[in-house]
Amino acid sequence: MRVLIIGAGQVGRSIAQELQHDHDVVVIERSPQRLELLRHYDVLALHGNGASLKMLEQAEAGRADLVIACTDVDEVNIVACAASKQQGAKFTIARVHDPEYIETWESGRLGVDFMVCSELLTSETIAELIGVPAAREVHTFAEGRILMAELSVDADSPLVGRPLKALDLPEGSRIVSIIRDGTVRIPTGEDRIRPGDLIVSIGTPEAIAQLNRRASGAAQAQSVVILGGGRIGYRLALTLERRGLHPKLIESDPQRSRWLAEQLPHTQVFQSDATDLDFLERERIGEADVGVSVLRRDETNLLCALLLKSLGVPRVIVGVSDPNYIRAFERVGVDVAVSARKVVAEEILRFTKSRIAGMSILEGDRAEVIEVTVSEESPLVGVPLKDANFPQGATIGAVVRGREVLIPRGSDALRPGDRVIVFARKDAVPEVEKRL
Amino acid sequence: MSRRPSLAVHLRSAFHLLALVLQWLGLAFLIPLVAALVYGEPGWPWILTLAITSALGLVLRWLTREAEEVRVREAFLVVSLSWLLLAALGSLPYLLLGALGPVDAFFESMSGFTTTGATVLLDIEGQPRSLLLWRALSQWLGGMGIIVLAIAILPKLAVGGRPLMEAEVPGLEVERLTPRIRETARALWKVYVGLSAAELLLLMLVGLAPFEALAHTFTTLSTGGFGTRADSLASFPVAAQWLVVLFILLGGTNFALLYRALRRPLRGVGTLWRDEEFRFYLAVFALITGLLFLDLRGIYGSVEAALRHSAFQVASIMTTTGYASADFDRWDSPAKLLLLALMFLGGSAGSTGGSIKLVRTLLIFKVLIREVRRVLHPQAVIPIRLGSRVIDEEALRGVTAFAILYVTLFALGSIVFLLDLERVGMEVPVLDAVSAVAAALGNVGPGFGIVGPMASYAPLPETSKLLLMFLMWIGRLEIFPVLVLLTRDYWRG
Repeated sequence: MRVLIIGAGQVGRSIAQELQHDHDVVVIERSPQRLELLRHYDVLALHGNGASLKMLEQAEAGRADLVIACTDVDEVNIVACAASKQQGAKFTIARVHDPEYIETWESGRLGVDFMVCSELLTSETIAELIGVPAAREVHTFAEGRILMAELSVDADSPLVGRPLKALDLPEGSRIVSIIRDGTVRIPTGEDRIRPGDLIVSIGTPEAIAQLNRRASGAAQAQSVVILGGGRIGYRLALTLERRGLHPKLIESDPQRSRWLAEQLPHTQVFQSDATDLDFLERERIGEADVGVSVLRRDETNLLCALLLKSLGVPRVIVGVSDPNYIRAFERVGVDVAVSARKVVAEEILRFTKSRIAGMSILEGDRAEVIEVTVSEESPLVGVPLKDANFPQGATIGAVVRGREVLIPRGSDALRPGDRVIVFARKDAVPEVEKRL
Repeated sequence: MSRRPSLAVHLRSAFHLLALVLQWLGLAFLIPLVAALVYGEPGWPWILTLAITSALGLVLRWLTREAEEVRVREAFLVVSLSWLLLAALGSLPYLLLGALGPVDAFFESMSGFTTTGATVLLDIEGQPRSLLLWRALSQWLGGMGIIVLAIAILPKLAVGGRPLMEAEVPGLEVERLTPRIRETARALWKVYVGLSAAELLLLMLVGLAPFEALAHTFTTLSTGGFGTRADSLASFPVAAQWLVVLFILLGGTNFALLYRALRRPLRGVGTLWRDEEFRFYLAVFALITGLLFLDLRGIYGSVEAALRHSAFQVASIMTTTGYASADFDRWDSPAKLLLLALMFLGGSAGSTGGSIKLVRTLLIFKVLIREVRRVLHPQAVIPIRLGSRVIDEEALRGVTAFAILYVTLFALGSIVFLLDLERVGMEVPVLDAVSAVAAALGNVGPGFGIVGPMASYAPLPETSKLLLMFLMWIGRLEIFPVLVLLTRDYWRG
């Protein structure tokens, strides 16, 4: 596959690094210093403006199978994608910072086949982690319309003990797997959940949140404190407001905090340094159910996260920019670390992996949840699922048909173009891809 | 050789506009002229006044040919002067018909145009009908604003219209209903005329004579308060009194809001309800009416009468109309104090009501609450919102400054007024004197005691009348347009 990457920032470089061995990668970058960093990669690095026609022609954008525009300037990315598309590029992806462009893009494609916003993705991921307190892991599919969550089940949960088919599960959700003592099982209607099991469920965000309440006594987070009012902090507060929460948001810049306070009517905005202990104590920040630190610098994030922990916040989530920090952060006491760069790179990289549109790896790598678009040649098309010969070790969690989200029953049949979210044991993944 | 510093105000443009306004509004005298002819009263005072006004306009226009665009500075001058000049010309009929002396005539006319409704006439029912109609009409014209009317009808004003309208229309800012200011002015007048027509019909339907119905329509929606009877509206049928309450409340509503609500009648109620100032307006009205009702229950026999008089007086005073359905001067002190406090609230922004305006009161409340919250959370960032709109700090400063200025003017006015009364040896209780000043500044009209709803301002010394007239004028234009004229910076740049 021929891949053109425009912009060799951190996202651009990590994509180039990932793809250099299996694909023909061309990179366009304006800054000579950044270009210098690509010297050790097996890629063709070109110096110039990725939105200029001359440059795109030189890079043979028209022949590219995939164009990834990830400079720091949103408009340049959009223009570069549109121009490449015009030249004949097969698929274009634009990375943007400003989530408003996503709305613009959704209304009229602009020659961009896919648009990712790192801030939006990260804030959505964090919002989901907050919304599902029992979750060990949460992943979104189909632009956030479908959620996969790995939930721990308490002993006194009403889900325990009865056969699955007798459980009145929330509308729009399915239990696709029970993980017991490290073994991944795909349950039938007769199986029962035991205390201490982990369940993997797929469904709409609302249904998953309901299921979470039944699985665990862990109370829904009521008070959330967000440190840092950057784009991620702002988007996160906005999402939480829509859920009816009243988060606290702490931002040190006076102008930015004023802007945030104006935009977020149900958020309590404070203008303070997030490391100001006097302030944190005075406002009793320690009483929050969840603390989120999304400040600019990773080191400050870590300090603040540990500060929140020491003040008594039970669950602390940190947004880090360097993916290498994730494990280290979680080791010293941060409950969950989310890396924006990793989230974006994963989101973009999935386009290079055949037809799999989204994936999440569970339990080490024993199982995967993948999003696949059903092709016209698939033998499963038109056959009711109960009669279809679906691969062993795999099950369909949800189907996205146009704007609709379906939780399939045995009588439903797949149509070409459906996007299915499949839970599969590792050994069944190639078979699933082949059949669909 | 020294050069005289040039004026920062373009006087010629300002006076040119003034001439235009005079010429056109002079036509308003045709209406009482028609009434005079219909009722067989002398018509010559109206013809003479019309002639004088038109001549003045023509001369001014000839002297100031080729005006330039009107900017903010000129707007203040045009607005301030046109109200003064129109009040002066409007006083001519009172003089010519021999009803009043010069100062009294000017007082009555100023009280009319500013929709105050304080009267110096002693024998209202003995006056010619054409004069009573003119008195009511002056309030109707002044209610929505003579400049807004001029912008709506004069094509020449389309360009400089915005600063002019900002200087005249009460409230924080002129809400733009349409991209063109002229269409906005027209939209406001359409609502005003439409509601007037509705009230006229309804009042005639409940049994009022056409003349009285028309005169009271003119003074209800304009929150003016001039009546045609000595006892104001006390001898009106009950149904008419309730009807007037409704239309007074409409007059105290933001006309831009009414326009938006009426344009989509199905969703009209929702439009009104979403407006925070409107909700506050209804809440204050209901609350004070309830309080007054509890106080008055003992005085009036029936619950209906107590409720009606409470609602009527609260609506009338709060919107600065000044009608009375009962002689509230005879009520007890708590009731009177409540009414005095109401004089400072006023109607909504963009309504015909005067005084401080509800939106400012509401915003000041919010600022105070914020200060309290800031004590507990010193680092909290708390913008002030009105509905979903954020009010910027600059505007809030303006609001606070206005309220302080208003109260200062009230205090100073009260002191000067009391000193003047003492000079001529008049004994007036402080509450009564203070009520007169609050009523003039807030364009309410009647106060208590000597200036009560069934009494007259006539016995006051002429100097006091001039003071009250000044307060009416500055109060109607919301202080700043007049006040800037008194600064050196305004003239020198």
